[in-house]
Amino acid sequence: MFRTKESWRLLIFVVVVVIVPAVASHLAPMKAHFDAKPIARLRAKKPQVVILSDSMVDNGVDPELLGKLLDGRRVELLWYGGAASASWYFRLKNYIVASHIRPELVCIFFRDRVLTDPRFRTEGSYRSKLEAAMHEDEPIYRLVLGQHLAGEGDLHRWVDRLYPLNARRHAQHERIEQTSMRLVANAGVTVPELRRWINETFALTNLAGGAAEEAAAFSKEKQTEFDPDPRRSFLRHIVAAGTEGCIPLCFLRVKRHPGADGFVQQDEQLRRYIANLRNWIESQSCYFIDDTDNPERTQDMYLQPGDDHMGPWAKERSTELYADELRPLLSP
Amino acid sequence: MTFHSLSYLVFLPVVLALYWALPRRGQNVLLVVASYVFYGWEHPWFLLPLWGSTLVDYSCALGMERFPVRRRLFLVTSIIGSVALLGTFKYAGFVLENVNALLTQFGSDPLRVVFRLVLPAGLSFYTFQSIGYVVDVYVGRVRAEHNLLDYALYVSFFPQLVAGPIERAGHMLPQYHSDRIFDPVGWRAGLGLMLWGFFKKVVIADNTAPIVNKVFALSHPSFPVIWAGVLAFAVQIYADFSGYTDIARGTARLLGIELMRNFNHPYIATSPADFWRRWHISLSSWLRDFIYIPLGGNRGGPARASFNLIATFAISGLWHGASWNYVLWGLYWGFLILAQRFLRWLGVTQWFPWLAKVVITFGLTCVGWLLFRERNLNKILNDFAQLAVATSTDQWWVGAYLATLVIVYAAPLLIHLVATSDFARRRLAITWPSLGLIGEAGVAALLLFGIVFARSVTTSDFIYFQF
Repeated sequence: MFRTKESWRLLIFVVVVVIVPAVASHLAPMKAHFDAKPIARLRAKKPQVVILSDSMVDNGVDPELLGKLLDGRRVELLWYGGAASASWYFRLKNYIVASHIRPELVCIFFRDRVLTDPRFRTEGSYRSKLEAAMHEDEPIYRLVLGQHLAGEGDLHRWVDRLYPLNARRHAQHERIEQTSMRLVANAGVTVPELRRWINETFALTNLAGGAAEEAAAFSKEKQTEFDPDPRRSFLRHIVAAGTEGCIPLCFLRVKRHPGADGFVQQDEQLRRYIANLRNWIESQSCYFIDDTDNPERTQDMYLQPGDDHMGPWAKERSTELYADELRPLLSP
Repeated sequence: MTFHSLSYLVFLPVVLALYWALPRRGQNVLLVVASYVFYGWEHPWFLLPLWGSTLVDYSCALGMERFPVRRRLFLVTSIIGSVALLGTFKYAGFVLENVNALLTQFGSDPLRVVFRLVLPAGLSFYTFQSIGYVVDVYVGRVRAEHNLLDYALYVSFFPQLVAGPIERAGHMLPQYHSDRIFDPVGWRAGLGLMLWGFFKKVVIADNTAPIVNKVFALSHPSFPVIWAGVLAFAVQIYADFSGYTDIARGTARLLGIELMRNFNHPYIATSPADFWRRWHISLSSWLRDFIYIPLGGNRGGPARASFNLIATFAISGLWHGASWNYVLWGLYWGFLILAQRFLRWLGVTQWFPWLAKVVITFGLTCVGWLLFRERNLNKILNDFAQLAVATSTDQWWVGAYLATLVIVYAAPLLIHLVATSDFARRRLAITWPSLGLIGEAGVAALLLFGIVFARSVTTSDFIYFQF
């Protein structure tokens, strides 16, 4: 086949096309830089209680009020919208433990099965926030998520090895979105304002019937049985990081939007999962609090039907309820 | 199997390696087998209607040649077969739904029949291609194909089976009858075309798709948001469909087969008629040759020609999908072209400069895309009822952000438009061969890097697979 000059030129063409992007892909940085600012902030503030969570604590916990209710303790919230188990693990290990502040209690506020769903919110726009708390090499990350990130089959893994940048596409999209946002914002608004309007426009309540149901179903965690296997979730590693830093851990399951009677509907499988989760966590000498059956957290405290977030009007009451649950875990 | 799946990355090199090691007859056998593997990869039963259509149309065409007196009977049999296939899989549920709606309207009980068949991918494409073949045999434009294998290849050639271009027997069969020569220069062009097609699909179309999906999922989108969503859809559908065609044409070129061009920068069209000379060219020329002209075309006076035009576009709309919004979309284009003819007759069109014509045509095309994308007729009315003056400032900002995002993703299309324009070709002498080996490899490597770097995190099937 390669008898003519043109055939050799074709071979050169193919080699260049395959190799040049592969080289460029290997030269590009593979993750966002580690953000060390939270360590300095923790060292400066020296909080005695740290809460790791997601947007649930935005209106759910007032750190200053919680501090006052916990006998004047300093309280720090470490959260961002969409944070989940991978993020909590790296924030605990690389910020709280690494800062050597040794708080009296680190509490993780989580929903239902999130603790054993390691891939939950580790991709797309959530990825760069996760990477900001990660060092260059994180063996636990590779152990738990490595095979997923390298693709689901041999061919995917082969492509990702040849073009490692392929696994970092989310970062480029986030950059494109942020650049577009800044470009528009330059014309007379602020980026946070624009972001808020975008979020409000595409809120679940603004979706047409079928689309809203689909989105709600999509956001529910996978229906699985509890499994503490260290290769399948960050849970055991979170506990190990707490033990290593001599930090007592508390896992607090937040109450989802209840029905009019104040109760949250749970199927038998979920109840079994939570019971097994509680047993395992308590066997590791950690605290477990289930706020789901707390009758004092009533429907009117929630932002809107179907939404698990508290309304801003309920922030104080919600903080008081959490304080009542956390106080017994702290020394008088 | 789809072009943008990793299975295709294995499938294509295997087929190419075997293909160029075989003599012509063996190549055709291999292509037919490969096409059936490609088509039946996920749903093997899709092959049954394909085989049925192939056998019926092959036999009818032979029948026309052997029994010239009964040519019409064979033609009608073949067309009824193709229409029945389309009707069963594509339109039966739609017809039943509408019959039930009518029965309910008049107080009767709806029919208790459930008719929900999965539409085999590409059915509309290969049935139209087959109809084209038997009509061409009937009118004597081509001779009936005697070799079943070559005819099966004409219907099932995997690069164009699922979403076109809708080829003509006169263009394809002679290529299957002749020896193919391994052409390294053609290979470079083919690989470049494939990479550009992949780039359009996985970088441009798949990245604008989430914007479209979000906007069209809103129950009451505001004026700027809905039109930013329509702009996103205009980019998505063009990048998606023309991307598919480029991959198909590029793949065919690696096999030594030339497929027709299906797109020619449709968004710089200067009139509705010009748009259809540039968009899905194989379908518009098929509709012209097999619907519009047989209906009488421009003959029979302005009223008759107008009716023919509207009927052709209504069929075009229905071809796209069994839903009223597609019919509406087809009628919209028919009336637009009628309006254009009227304005041209008045001599109004020559007053507008080129850019104004392009902008107006693009705006009208976007109105059409709203009809095409939104299936719910009430929502279409709601979307058109949104007024710019009644929109809050924050919604303008959201619309501006979405439009900016779309323009950023669509930027490579603009660069491609400029680079392949007449100006670049004639004045600057920029063409693919003029780039030379290094230039070609550089552009292709850049495209592959773009795919690796900015490919959408999620991908979906090609839009035209559903038709």
